Amino acid sequence: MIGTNLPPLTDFWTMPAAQREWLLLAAIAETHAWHYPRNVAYRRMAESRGVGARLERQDLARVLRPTAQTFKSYVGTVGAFPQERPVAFLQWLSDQLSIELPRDRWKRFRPRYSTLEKLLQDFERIYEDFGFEVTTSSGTSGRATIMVRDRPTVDLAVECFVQATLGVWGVGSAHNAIFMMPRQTRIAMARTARFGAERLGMQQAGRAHFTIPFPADPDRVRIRTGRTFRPGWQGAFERRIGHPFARWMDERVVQPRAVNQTIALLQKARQQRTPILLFGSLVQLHALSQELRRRGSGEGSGQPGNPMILPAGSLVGTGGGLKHQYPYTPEEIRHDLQAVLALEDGQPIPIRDVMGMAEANWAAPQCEAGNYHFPPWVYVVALNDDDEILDGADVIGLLAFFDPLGGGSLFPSFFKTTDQIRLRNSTGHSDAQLRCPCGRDTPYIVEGTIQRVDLWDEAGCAGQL
Amino acid sequence: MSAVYDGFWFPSSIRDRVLRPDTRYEYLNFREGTPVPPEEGEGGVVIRWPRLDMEAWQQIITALRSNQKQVPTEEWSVRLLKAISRVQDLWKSQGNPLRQKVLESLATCTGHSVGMLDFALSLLDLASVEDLHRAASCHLTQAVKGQFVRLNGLAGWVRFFEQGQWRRLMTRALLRSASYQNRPWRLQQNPPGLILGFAAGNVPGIALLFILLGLAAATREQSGPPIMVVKNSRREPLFTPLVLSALEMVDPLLLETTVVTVWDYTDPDLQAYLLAQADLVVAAASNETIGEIEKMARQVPAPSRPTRFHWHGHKVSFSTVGRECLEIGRHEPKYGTPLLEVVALLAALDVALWNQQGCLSSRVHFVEQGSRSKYHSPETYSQAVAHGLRLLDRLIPKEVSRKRHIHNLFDKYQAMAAGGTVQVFSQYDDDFLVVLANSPMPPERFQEMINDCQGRTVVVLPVRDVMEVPDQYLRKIPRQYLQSMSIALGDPDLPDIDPRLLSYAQALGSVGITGIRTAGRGAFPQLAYSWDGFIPLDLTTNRTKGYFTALEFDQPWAQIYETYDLVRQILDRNR
Repeated sequence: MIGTNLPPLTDFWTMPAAQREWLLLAAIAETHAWHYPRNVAYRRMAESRGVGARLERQDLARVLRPTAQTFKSYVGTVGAFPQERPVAFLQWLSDQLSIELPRDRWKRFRPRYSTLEKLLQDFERIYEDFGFEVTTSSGTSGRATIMVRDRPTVDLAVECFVQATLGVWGVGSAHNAIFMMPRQTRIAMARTARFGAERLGMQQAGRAHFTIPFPADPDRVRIRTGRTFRPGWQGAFERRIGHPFARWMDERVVQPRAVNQTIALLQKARQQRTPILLFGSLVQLHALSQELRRRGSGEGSGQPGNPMILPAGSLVGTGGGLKHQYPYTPEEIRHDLQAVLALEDGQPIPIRDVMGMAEANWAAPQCEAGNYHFPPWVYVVALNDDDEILDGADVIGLLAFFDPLGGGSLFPSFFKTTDQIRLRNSTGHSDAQLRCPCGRDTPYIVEGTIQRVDLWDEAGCAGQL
Repeated sequence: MSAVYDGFWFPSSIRDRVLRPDTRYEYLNFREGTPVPPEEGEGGVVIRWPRLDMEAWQQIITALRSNQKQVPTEEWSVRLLKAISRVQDLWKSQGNPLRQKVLESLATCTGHSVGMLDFALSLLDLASVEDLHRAASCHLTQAVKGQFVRLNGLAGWVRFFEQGQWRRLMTRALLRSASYQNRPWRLQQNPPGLILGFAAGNVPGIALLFILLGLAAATREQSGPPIMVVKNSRREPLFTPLVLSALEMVDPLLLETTVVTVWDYTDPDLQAYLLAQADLVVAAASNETIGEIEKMARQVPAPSRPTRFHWHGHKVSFSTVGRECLEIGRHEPKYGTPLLEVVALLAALDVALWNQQGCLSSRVHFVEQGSRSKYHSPETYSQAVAHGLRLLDRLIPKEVSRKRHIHNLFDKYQAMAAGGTVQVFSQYDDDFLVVLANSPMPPERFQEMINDCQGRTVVVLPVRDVMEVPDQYLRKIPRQYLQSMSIALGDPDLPDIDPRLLSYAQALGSVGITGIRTAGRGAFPQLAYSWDGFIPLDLTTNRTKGYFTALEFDQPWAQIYETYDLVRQILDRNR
């Protein structure tokens, strides 16, 4: 089994950087060696890049797979709608995973499913003994990343959420958590938040609330986003009826209800004098701030200069960035939020972001100094334009990571992302002078330096169809 | 220390009048093909252009109009040809001390390597200015609406495709009559007094192309050459002013009505003023930019005569390799190289030049399959293309590589290869990608692949018969996106055009392809022929709606062998 030689995760926070690097490099090599013979897709990728069963240090960058493709590659082989070809989807999934999916169960799947959600539910049911949890990206591009997790890797994600994100933010079991998210969803961040709240006992104590009242399965998200529709009459129905209706529902029903319920929960927490963690996407939180501002007078609930006062220790958490064009910048949204929410001592409410992605089994929360800290058990690097690992303790490049534990026995979690960042104290290049002012000794992204990279600079007459 | 160049060019009469010691300039620093802040520009190239106010612009237009009346037009075409030939000779002479310096500066601005620029500019003779002059003064008969016809004695053929179903049907009926076919196609003369150009910078020298076209159109004119006001690209502002400076040294009077500089799209007053002066607006730019110009043009008060527009927006180009090229045992005559290798190298050249940043670069190679016993397979062709791209990678490398783009595509297609829909024929460390796709392919997948073909990425797509190309693939793409087809097709033993090639050209034209060239010449369009459906004649005349498709050659195989010979010589010199 992978990672058995590693110390408990909590030890990594205090471990000297050099020791951490050595341990992680050994674990990466071990992870590679374990998955290479078992994982068809990974082996095929490694072989095509000239990497064999034994991973040498100089080849580290050659085993990084692109997050934007790896668990979306079903689109190229199965098609954009796996529910129409379940067996082909299972074949694709078998190639992606390092464990064997018993083929004799494939016949228990239906020849086709009306939705992706139904196929994924059946997958989880038929392989219930594996404890699979299928998660997805937010799917705003119209084609969702489909990730398979099992119990150990879900546990790791929750552990990371509790230790890193909530730990860095100082959120504990005393807090009331209000998630402006659906409870029923496969979106990885929301699922992890739910399990994290359970782990802290918030759920059981009735102090974890999900304020988006409707499920957000991948099919609904796809139709609402309106970028990919099914072929034929179903697609025509989705385009002409489903998409406008979903948009209307979202604007007129879902968002207002989520905002109203969030305000009600905030007021209740205020009366009970319990600190709150309010967590959501920038767009949803902005809708909340606008509603609080609109309500204006009375009970100090949001009028500019008369913000809603929340108990000490309260915090707003944001995640996911801005996925589509939005007329306000993140800075403007944060400003609007702080204009309507404040702490008892009159200070604006702290707002902390968290960086994560469906493919990663970790999250990097913003600390008090504004920088994004990676969990110390993840080997983090930045790549140059030729996909080579950049040397130095303060570099600008494409974020890539090796999480030797992140994929468990399912897949090696070695990925290059599509985020350009300024990275300090990457795992191989730690400099005490560059340690974050918050004092945490981990690799970190400098505040305000995360940029989505366009893969190609389009100009002139070389067109895209 | 950075070299400072002018990103503008004015005739001396205007320079003296408009540019004063107190004229303010804008500066742009370049490094590795990218504009950078001044503090990061050390050792790079700095381009400057004057910041002109409306008064200065009005002075310029007045001066250009005055020059237009005074400039001598006697023997215009002869002088133009002579001047351009002289500049070409100067450029090619090995003793030219400026050549290397200019190439390096161009490389710094454009991000294309010195090798690439040198290679492309070494082959400049392939664009014949003499032909351009002849094309501008051609006379067409009605026959051009139904078949490929000769263009004023030039090598090659041209055909007009009318827009509108009823009009096409009517013309087809009329063309049954031989007398109608021979009747002259009387086009309404409409010579532009002022041509306003907007040049993109993705490929060097687009502003220069506009100017050469405008100057050649002047050969039909008695009242002086047109005024050419061309907006230079901020992305490639160097090449055109350099060539114009050289031309000025040979014959300054040729350029008395020409101005090239940079101005802001975002200056609505200036844009409105210039658009109001123009009789013809020519723009090679992204669709978004063209849309912006069109929007502004609509807001400009109507000038005395309606402004015409020639747009050159987003386009894609392709290659076709007939099964004759894959015949086992067939060789090119001079070097005895297998024909497969010759064609694959030239087809690779059409991919590599300008790194597919321009509309002329081929993206998909359609390869016609034959029986495995007699013909090489598409797999063998794909291997040969990969080999050709590897050779060219050494000769004309990318200046700024950014392998990440190719790596991402490599991974994507390797993942697809698992499903058996494609095969990848290049290596992870290659700075290009060759993919062999299985056909038939659904339209959405085909379009996605076309979009992927950038930065030297080529998809080889086998077809059973070349006629599948227009019928099954190109017809599915909106006509306004189609541009040119590089071809190696027809019996190599036939000196002239094989009827099979002619039928294919008809089919390509009918779906919207406007330029058909031989393999290896994809990036060297002949200005005399159709550019996105316009021929030089269109600069000075009005015609019915539609577009021209040109076959830019008479003897395809002779031309293919000639191009191979040129490329081979350059390759051998650089071995």
